[in-house]
Amino acid sequence: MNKPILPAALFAAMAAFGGNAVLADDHAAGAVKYRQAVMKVIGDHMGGISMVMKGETEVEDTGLHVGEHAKGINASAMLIAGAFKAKIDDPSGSTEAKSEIWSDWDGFVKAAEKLEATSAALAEAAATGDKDAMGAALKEVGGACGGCHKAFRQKKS
Amino acid sequence: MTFRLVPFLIFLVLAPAALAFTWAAHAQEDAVERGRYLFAVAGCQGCHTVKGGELLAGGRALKTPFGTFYGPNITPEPEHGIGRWSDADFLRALREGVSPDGDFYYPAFPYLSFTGMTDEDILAIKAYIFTLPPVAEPRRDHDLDFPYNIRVGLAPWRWRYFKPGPLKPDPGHGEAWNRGAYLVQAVAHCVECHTPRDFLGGPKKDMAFAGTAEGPEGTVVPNITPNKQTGLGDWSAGDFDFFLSLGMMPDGDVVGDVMYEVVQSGTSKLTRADREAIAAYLQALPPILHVVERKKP
Repeated sequence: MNKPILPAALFAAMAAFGGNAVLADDHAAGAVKYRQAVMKVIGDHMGGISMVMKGETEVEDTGLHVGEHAKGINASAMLIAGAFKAKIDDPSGSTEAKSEIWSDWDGFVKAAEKLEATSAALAEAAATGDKDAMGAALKEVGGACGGCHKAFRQKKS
Repeated sequence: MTFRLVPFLIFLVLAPAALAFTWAAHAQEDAVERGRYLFAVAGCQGCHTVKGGELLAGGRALKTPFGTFYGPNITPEPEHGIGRWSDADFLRALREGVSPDGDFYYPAFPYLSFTGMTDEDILAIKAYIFTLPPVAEPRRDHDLDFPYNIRVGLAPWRWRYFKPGPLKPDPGHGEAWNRGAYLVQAVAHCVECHTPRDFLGGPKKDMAFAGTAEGPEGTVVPNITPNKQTGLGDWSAGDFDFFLSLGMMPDGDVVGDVMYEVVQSGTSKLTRADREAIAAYLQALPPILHVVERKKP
């Protein structure tokens, strides 16, 4: 009865360690996927705003649609810092995040806060329904996106 | 009678002089305003200003396969800048790529494009630059590999690639196309980054605007010909308008990289008519099928 314990213990230990390694990789992949998801939602809202403002849709109440997209961006902007906080090397190699995010963490957080502020201003402008005001506010949001991308993103394609 | 005649005669002499004077002042103001606009579209400060440094005092590093170029001080300071330059000096620099001392400029200074500008526009840029504060910042020498560090070597290069301007309007196209051609080819010098280069660093003519994976600062520069699969063939007029004014792609992504600066300090300041002209010109380019991909490290 005593003999099988050793192999069983070994097996258990291997399973535990191996499992941990797999788990750690999964976590890293998940963390990268999640921060990519947060950014993608923002990009999709921006795509929606541009379609509505270009007049490519059947939407009648431009202000409502632009405003709600802006609120969506605002909500996601608040998640950026949390999503990126842990410095994780992407096991899949798909990441476009530059290491400057973590070496200049304060700058990165400031850039995310700029998106928060500008998207809130866009939601306010949209509430007035004034297209010129929306255009001007959208310019600020675009500036926040591009400024952060310039400093912290390396496009892969 | 004579007493009344004298003031009248003085008036006769002075009035045209005063008129000419105010007219000249207005013309100068117009040139400065025109120059401010062209200066932004031409992106002068991008290469001639170091990040966080004094405007146009120079120093920004431009890394290329031939070495690193440092944009010189072009403030109107007499010692280190261009304060002593005459109109003819400035014209020759942008039209011919030759310094007041007769040296060839490296084509990192995009005179292959600027040569297409009119005399009037080139001098308007000078007029604007000369309203900016002079800065006494010494120039930094380029750091180039052999044999590119020998300026005389540029003579055959120029013979091969350089066609002096100005651009002539093409009567076969409309006003918007011609304005777009002038902005894209000459002032905004889009071709400099969006066209692949051969091993001598000259633009590949048959691949104009087809993009390159070896752009400035390691960027991948997209194909902007109207090819449907690999270029901007499915961009609407609104897409061009949003991109040039906001840096926003049709899918909602906003460009970073070097193009972000080009949009912020350049294309976002274009008038609506000029943005439309650029779109009209780009959409009429011959479409080139060319996939631009980052090279595997």
